[in-house]
Amino acid sequence: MGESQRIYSANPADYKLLEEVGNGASATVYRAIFLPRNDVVAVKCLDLDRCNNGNLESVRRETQTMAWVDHPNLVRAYCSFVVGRNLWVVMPFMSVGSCFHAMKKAHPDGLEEMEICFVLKETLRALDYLHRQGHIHRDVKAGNILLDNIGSVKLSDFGVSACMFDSGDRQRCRNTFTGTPCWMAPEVMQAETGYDSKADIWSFGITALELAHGHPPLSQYPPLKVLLMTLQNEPPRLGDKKFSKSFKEMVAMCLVKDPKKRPTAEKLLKHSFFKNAKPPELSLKKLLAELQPPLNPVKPLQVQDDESAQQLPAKTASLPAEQEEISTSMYQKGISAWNFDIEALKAQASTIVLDSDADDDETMESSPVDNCRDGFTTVEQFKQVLQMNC
Amino acid sequence: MSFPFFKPSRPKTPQEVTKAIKDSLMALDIKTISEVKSLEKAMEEVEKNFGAMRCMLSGDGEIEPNVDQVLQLALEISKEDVVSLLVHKLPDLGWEARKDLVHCWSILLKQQIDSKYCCVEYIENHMELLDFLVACYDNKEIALHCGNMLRECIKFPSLAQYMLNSGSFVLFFKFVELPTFDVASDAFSTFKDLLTKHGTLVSEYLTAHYDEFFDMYEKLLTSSNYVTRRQSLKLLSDFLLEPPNSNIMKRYILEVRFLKIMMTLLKDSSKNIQISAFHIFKVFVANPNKPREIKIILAKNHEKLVDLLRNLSVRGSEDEEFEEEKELIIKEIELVSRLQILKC
Repeated sequence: MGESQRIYSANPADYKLLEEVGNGASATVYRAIFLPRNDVVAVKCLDLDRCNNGNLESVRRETQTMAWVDHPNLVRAYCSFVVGRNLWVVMPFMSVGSCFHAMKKAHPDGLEEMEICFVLKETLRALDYLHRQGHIHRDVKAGNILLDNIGSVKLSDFGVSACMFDSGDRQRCRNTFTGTPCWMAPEVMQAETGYDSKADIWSFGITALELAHGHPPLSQYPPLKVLLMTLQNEPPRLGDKKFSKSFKEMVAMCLVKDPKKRPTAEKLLKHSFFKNAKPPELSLKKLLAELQPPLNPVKPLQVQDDESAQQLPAKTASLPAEQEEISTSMYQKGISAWNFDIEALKAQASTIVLDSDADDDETMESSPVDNCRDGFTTVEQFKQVLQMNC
Repeated sequence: MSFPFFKPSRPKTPQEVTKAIKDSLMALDIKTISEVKSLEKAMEEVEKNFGAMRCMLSGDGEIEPNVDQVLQLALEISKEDVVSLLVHKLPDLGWEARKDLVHCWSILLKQQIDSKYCCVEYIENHMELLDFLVACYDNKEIALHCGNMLRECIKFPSLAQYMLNSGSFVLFFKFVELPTFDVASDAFSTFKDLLTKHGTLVSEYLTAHYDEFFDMYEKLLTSSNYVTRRQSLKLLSDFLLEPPNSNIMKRYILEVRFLKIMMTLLKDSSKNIQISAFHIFKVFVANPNKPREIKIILAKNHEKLVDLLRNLSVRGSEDEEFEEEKELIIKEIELVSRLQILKC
């Protein structure tokens, strides 16, 4: 509980925002200093006026979930408060950024088994905790697994996570269609059947493949085709010779189409693959060294009453390479958090004949989905994307 | 060294679980709490028993709960005064125990024996428990837990009615503006449920407390806090435009001061707020029996209003309907502005 016990104030003047470390359509994340203790934190600034879905209920739920979780492998919200039209959420600062980020920077073709094993084990601990608490994360992927420079791993982004106990019932299944197509479990795609925490186990398996190859399977296809192929094809497998048998077996256990036949997070943690997990100072040493220095060390603050502490700093001119990474991650995040009408999707799907030979080279333009980051995508927008590509 | 066979076995029957919970909660007295070691032990005991309660009420993930046991447990807990203990001891509990309690609370309230909700009935006889829960919004540590428990309570009309008419109801006007977003928005969520879940009760309440309520509500609508303005405005249209409140609505749209608030909100820097304000403003204008004072205000400001409305638009599927309504309202404002009788 140590970390969660730290008290952060709800006063914007106590925070000095530094450079931008990530952004999306309606939120920007800054590295920041909590002035009273000179602590480094991350502050997510969410433009509430752009959450134009009529109410702020989803924002409330996300912050509440983030405030209620208490686990070393989960990003927790220390506190959140309103500044003008923005909501500021104060969170731990993860200096390396996401695994997706780290991978693109150091190993675009995938990480090494030892690295993957450690990262996955920590992530699985977070999932085990969430599932016990009655939550489904619903967006497990490398882009949501954050690292810091001493090798701690935290699962983040509860943007779409649902609490099964919301209504107080022991309601095991959710009937909403949300998630990221490439990482999405087959039963989530068939929204009428409902799904449970086992959907996260599928996404976890896909994330394992993503970390092994540098991208998830089917990532070259447009969303609708990903949906159809996930439903129709055999589940993807880890085939590469360089990986161990137990790793391959673990992935295969997660990627079973029948959710009932997938192990729980608790069971999976006991798999032999994770027995070999080495502490970060061994497993992540090389990776972290390659990623150094992630950011400038924090300089002691000289002018504490600087008025600019209350204002958002102008977007720092980050390196072009970094910008490109941000845009790639935006794209990856862009196809996240769909929220559309399953009937419309089915209607679309019925008009499509899947010809796996002819259009294998089809790639998707990233621009149409860039603005779909926060799940406010309209069915119309989605259809547009589909029509352009299918 | 531990000898598992010497440990008292886990309570098994609903009666045993209830007794164990009661004893362990009673043990959390001032003397125990002031001593670190004994407190730790007492808390452990509570946590263990809450775990047993949770397991009995909702299974352990593999085994489904036994319906009869669930009913029996709810009955025992209300019979043995444990409902009161659960509420009053909440501030003293640890993190996991509080979460377990929130989880169990909603299940307990729903248990029905011979068409009677035993735990709800217990609360009906101890309504001060609700006031206690409301006051907990002031304690950041437990605010969200109490909020959740309170929302479960007010799903039941008798409890909602008490809340609306209780002295603690006015506290919500303060809590929804607390600086901490998660607490403020949770309080707002409860406030909203109170004003929307039971139409007839709300209408009775608003009729009886019309002036008092809308005076306080005005402060929310004109708050400097963006979230307060936006949420309270949206909520206003949620309950004011509902059929059971039609009489309240008819009264509301006759008042110049409320029209002025809506006109101010039409000029808000936030687009979301402008659009929500339009949906209430339009009712003032569309009212076929507008009082003379309302007409005068509309006539005096008609140019600015028409300009404002012309620039107002929504994205997406509501677009057409919105534009249609807007045109009607603009027409009406222009019509009013040409009325001769207002010019003298």
